[in-house]
Amino acid sequence: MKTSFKYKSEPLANEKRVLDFQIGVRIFYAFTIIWLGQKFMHLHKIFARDEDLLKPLHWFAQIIFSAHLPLLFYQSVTVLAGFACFYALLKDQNNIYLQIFLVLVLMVLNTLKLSLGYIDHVDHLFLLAHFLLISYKRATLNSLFVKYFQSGLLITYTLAGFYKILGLLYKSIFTSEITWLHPKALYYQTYLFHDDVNKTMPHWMDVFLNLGYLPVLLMLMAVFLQTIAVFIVPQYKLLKYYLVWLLVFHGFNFVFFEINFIYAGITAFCFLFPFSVFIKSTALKTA
Amino acid sequence: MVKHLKILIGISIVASVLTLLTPKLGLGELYPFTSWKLFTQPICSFDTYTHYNLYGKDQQGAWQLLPLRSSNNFDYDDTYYLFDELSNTIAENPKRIGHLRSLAKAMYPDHNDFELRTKSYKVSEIVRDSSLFQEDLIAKF
Repeated sequence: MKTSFKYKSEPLANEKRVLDFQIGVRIFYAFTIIWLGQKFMHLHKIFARDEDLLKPLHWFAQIIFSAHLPLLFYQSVTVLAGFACFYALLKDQNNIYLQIFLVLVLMVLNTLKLSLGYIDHVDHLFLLAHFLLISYKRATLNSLFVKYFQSGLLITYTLAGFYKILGLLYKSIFTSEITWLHPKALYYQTYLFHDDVNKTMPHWMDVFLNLGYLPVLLMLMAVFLQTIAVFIVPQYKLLKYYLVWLLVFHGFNFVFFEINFIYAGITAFCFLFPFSVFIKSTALKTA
Repeated sequence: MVKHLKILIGISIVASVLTLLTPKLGLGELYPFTSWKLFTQPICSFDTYTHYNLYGKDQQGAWQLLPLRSSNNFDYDDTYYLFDELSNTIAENPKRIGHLRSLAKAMYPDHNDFELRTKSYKVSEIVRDSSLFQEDLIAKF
């Protein structure tokens, strides 16, 4: 992987990639402050509930809830985490201990939000980005670090696509169940997700999802693009197009399946958007 | 710096793969990592799909479907997952009927009588005829 990174990237692309990251990471910390603010505003609502409604199923959530810490404690660490973000934002350099503290606070707050703790895959890309930022040092930042960082995030899409391909092959060969290759699969899935929240599927969606094999082609394209995610990283020029596809993909999930992947979309935007297009080329050489 | 990042990425990938197994051992996912095994197959592949619905008696005494919505202490996601969790465990813990009523009253303070019902159907049938589903009363509160 290291070899392909070195040979396929041009020097200017490397400079742009580093500049993109420097800007993106600041936006990411600014966004994290908003995330913390949202959680802070939500804390008192959680603590106003009947204690019997706060019985988490997940081991991490169980540890947190068994501590019976007061609301003030959670409010305090949230504010401290906000200061840690401000520090990283203004100084533009990470302190490893502050970043570890931030990751722990984000994990705890994320757990409190999902007080029943049985949906584990929420905001994970956001948490993963903060986890990887533990290794970030502004002074020694280079394009290789950015490429690995982007790979660390996009490998998750590759894994998700890989599992879909395996599932597709297994179900197609060994079972008679409906798979994503069934022309009605996407239609049925969309119907279920709407009915589950007592909504009726809009007419245009009904028509669109019944256009013969088009939904199957779209699904296969989505699985293919998901799977190749990590292989896009060395191709700097393709990254922005890949980001557009990712945002469309998450948008599709939101519109059709009513599943909110907004934090994943924002995280991908922060670390894949070519912010350097707004910087003059002369400035790039001194960046 | 890159060396440390590689270690962190390695940890995240190993944990993502391991977390496929840990729920089967009763340990849950290796939070904050996840298997990323999302929608490997459509949910409609199951023969019959069942979900819970909340009904309430209106001023005229007629029962009407009450869509889940946010309220003072619960945003929409809280309401959705809590409703599902309470509905799923109501048989083993009847005390949860009280919690379900609290949640229902928080969403619909003007209603006093509620019912929890299941709606079961085959998707391939209900999309052809919306009346092809079975409804069962689970609890009155």
